[in-house]
Amino acid sequence: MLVLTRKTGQKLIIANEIEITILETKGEAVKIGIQAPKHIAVFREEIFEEIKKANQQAVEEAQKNVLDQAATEAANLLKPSPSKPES
Amino acid sequence: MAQLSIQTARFGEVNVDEDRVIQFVEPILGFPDSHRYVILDHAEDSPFKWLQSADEPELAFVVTNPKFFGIDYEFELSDTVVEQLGLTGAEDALVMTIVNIPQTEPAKMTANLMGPVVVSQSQRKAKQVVLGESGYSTKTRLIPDEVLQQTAGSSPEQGA
Repeated sequence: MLVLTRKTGQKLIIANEIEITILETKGEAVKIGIQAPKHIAVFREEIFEEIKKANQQAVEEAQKNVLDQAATEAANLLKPSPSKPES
Repeated sequence: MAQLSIQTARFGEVNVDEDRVIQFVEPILGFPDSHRYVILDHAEDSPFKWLQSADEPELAFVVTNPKFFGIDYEFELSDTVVEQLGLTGAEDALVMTIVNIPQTEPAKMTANLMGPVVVSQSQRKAKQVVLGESGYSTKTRLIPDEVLQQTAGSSPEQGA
């Protein structure tokens, strides 16, 4: 890992197109400004961790019989048999 | 059409036409070893489908489109994603969200609206898109408590 020390207001340039500015430091918090082309996605790491966790949890719970129950609940609550004519 | 035989933990051996295989350009987050998936039906009239890995027999997600549950769900795809998937237009994009169904309370199922799976139907390429700052949650209830309570009647829920 490359480690650099920067002061408030100083910048880093990555691959000539991503500009990172240290805007402010306050205690443990560092405010960072990122200027990057639209095709570069920038997210907080927690976002990825949260989605990863949700994915893993979903797989653990994915059981056939539970899905059958869920589908029955959904059908009962949301779509009172729209395809069948009322008698 | 050549057929692909897929070993699955839940459905045994499944044979699908090769052109039904979806190639993930980036793996689903947390599952780096699976790049090929197929979509399998759950049941007639079911709002759910299975997204079954063709690379790992035990790996399968329950998926749905939140629109089936009356949830407004719209987002913009970046040019990068459009390019990666070879999307020809909005109608080419098949959108699925991964569903988490608690085994103890299936009615309290949630969908991950922050990380939808988008498939280009023309290219059969897919990706889990990260909608980081969209305001969408990874745990959106598909059936809200109000709706559950209306029909449950005798079993009032705690809370607001």
